[in-house]
Amino acid sequence: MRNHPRTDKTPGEKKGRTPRRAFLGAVAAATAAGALLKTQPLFGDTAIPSIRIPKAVTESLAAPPRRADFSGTGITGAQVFANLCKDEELAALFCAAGNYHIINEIAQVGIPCYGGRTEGGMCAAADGFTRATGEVAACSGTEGPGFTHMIMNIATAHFANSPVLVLASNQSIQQEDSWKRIQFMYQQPTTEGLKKYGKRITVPNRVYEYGAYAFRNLKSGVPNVVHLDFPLDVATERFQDPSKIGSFYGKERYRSESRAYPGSKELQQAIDMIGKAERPVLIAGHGVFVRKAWDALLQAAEKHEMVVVGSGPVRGHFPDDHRLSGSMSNDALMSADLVIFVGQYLMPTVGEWTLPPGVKTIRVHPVQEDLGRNWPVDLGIVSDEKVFLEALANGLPPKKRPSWVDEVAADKQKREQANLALNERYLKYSRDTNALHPWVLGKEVHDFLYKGDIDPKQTVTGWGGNMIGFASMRWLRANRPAQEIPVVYQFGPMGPDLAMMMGAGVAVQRGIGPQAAYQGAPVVVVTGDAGMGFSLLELDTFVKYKIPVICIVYNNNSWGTFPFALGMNTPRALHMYLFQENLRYDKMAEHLGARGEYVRTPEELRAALKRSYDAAAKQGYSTLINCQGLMEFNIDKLYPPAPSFAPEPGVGAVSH
Amino acid sequence: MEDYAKRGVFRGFHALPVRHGVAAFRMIWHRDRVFDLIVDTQKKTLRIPVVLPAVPSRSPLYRDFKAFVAGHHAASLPDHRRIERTKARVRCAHHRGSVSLTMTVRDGDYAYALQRLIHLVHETFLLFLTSGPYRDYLVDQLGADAEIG
Ligand SMILES: Cc1ncc(C[n+]2csc(CCOP(=O)(O)OP(=O)(O)O)c2C)c(N)n1
Ligand SMILES: [Mg+2]
Repeated sequence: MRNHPRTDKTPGEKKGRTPRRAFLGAVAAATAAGALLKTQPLFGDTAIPSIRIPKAVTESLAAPPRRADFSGTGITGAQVFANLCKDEELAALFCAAGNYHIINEIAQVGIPCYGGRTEGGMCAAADGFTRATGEVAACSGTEGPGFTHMIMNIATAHFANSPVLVLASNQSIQQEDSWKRIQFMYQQPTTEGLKKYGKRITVPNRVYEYGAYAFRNLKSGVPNVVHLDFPLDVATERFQDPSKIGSFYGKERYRSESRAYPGSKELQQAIDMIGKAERPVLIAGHGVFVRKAWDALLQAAEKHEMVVVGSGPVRGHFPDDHRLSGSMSNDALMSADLVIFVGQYLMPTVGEWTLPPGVKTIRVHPVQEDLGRNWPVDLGIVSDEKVFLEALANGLPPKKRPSWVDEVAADKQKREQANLALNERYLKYSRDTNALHPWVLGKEVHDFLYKGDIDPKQTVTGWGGNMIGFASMRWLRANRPAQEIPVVYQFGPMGPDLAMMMGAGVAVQRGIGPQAAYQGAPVVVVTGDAGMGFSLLELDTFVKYKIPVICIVYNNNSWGTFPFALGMNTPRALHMYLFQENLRYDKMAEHLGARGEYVRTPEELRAALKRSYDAAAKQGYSTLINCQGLMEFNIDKLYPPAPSFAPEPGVGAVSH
Repeated sequence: MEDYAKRGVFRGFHALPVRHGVAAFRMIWHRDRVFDLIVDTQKKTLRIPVVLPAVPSRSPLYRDFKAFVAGHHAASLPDHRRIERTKARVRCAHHRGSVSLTMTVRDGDYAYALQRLIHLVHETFLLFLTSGPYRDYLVDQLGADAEIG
């Protein structure tokens, strides 16, 4: 939105509010007083005020919420929309300043809001929040530059089927096409192919109606991104009378919670097929998480001893450490004689996954149009995932499949041993070079999170990056719903990792949904130095909102795809992949108000993890651990074998 | 074979002209490559002449592949994964830089041998190549992705 709203009053000036200028005065006075009291030397002996969270942040967060109504001068379009978001229990808004009417009213009505450093980062945070909770989250930015900055992470959310509500302002319709300076653009075509629903709201009194469209799409069927843009005329229109607003009825009337039930005949058919199979594998797709169907899944799997592999952009709706998990048994999965896909939103094509060629297949999906896509089915069932799994848990007779379970368990053990054998080799590389190999890094983090003093179900992790991604994907685990977020799922973006985990961190701090039992725990992100260029400054946002994160940066001085320049015999290209060597992301973190750690050996990393976790758990501090690596580890011929993709589905899956 | 084709296992499946009583089929399969299957009922063999292209005969890849293939007869495998020696024998060979697989049918059960052969090729691409140190081979020779994003 433009800096100068068209209205006569500034957004804050209404009866009963603190006038904007007076408020700013108070902030200035408080800040100045605080600065005088608390200066301390930071660099040498020069007295420079220290980093701290402004009192105004704390005060603003504690300000009482207020819901606008039709009394007095009436209610604005922005307030109508904010009220609707509140009624829909919108769980969080992440934004960078801009789209002022909308973000201010959403904050004022009492929806938890978070302001960060870039619109792209905040879009990723909204995505992270939805991945960690299954709830809708919104992000917002100013019309042209802010909105366009979000685009990579809108696409990332789209390919993760995240119900992210993208909000952006737009210039006044009155000025459309007039070249009246900044920021006019058509937003909707930019998100073409990246959303489930989008609308530029042009008629002010339809603002409620299109808000309803948005939430109907966000909360029904297969979730995905919704994008609304608000021209100034819509956000600032005033209504004194509800009858002036079109379709102004509650969420009970503009959307439905009705779900598809499987027909009794096809349900029986599925039960018969599963009963006859000797080695069934159930693929629990993202839809199982979205519909919070993990208990029904566990019940059905245990009752009838089916092997289960979870999939999707957030992991853990079937625990990796469960005895029926096939998530590390890709070889054994090749023995399956029946596959049941439930809520697999992004179907693999035949031959991509470690399942036998031509295996008998049942697919259960809430949308009929998708049945048969990419993968031929023997039985297709239109059903809500939770309803289906509950029916399955009821309908399947108890059964034991000891030899199938043993086959899967033995294969998992083999894989774990192979991982450890590789670690020995990489450990030697690390010792020889005094640099951390990413695999060794992954193993240390694994041992610390799942084999030490911490509850192995506690810590939510997120990961991205290239070589560091290949290593993290092998070592991070999900032992309960929404414990692991593979940021690179499907779309493969470098960079959003830290920002995405800011949203996930908010979810854990507030203990929302599957995070309830672990409320307040720190989150961990493993990322590459490439990612630092995108998200490092969001550490400021973590610290500001007291969301403890341990950010583990694998620093190999490069965009890890530099071997392309060598492989293509284009030596003049190599410099484009390289950063300065030995950059100190840990120092940068310290200057953003977080802790910094610098490590080069597994022992140092182990100690740093312990210190960082203690500081996070006890004092709420965030830490960045700069792990100095070596770019040559990415060259297969020099340090074989360079880690690469994990077989899918299961632990390490990034494609589907 | 028709059944596998109908289930989307491979694309463009068709028969080639019969020569000297030998039937041959062609299809597009893993990594979008063309695979031929030659069925010789006189020799009682099913043969895929090129399973892996561009493999040096003295390479660790070929050495490991031979062991992987031989392992399919192992008694330690569960019945549903083993290639039963009394029913069929599998071996790989190296010819002009490519690695072939031949299944010899021992009890006339061609359907069994075919099913085992198809599974073996499938496992070659999805398990053998992805679990070993063959990243460069996958990328350079088979066009696999080298980067995560
Ligand atoms: C935004 C974005 N830019 C570029 C790419 C292409 N790409 C994929 S991986 C990669 C290298 C990433 O480097 P880093 O995360 O530091 O990984 P490492 O050095 O550990 O291999 C690049 C450039 C991408 N996927 N996303
Ligand atoms: Mg790097």
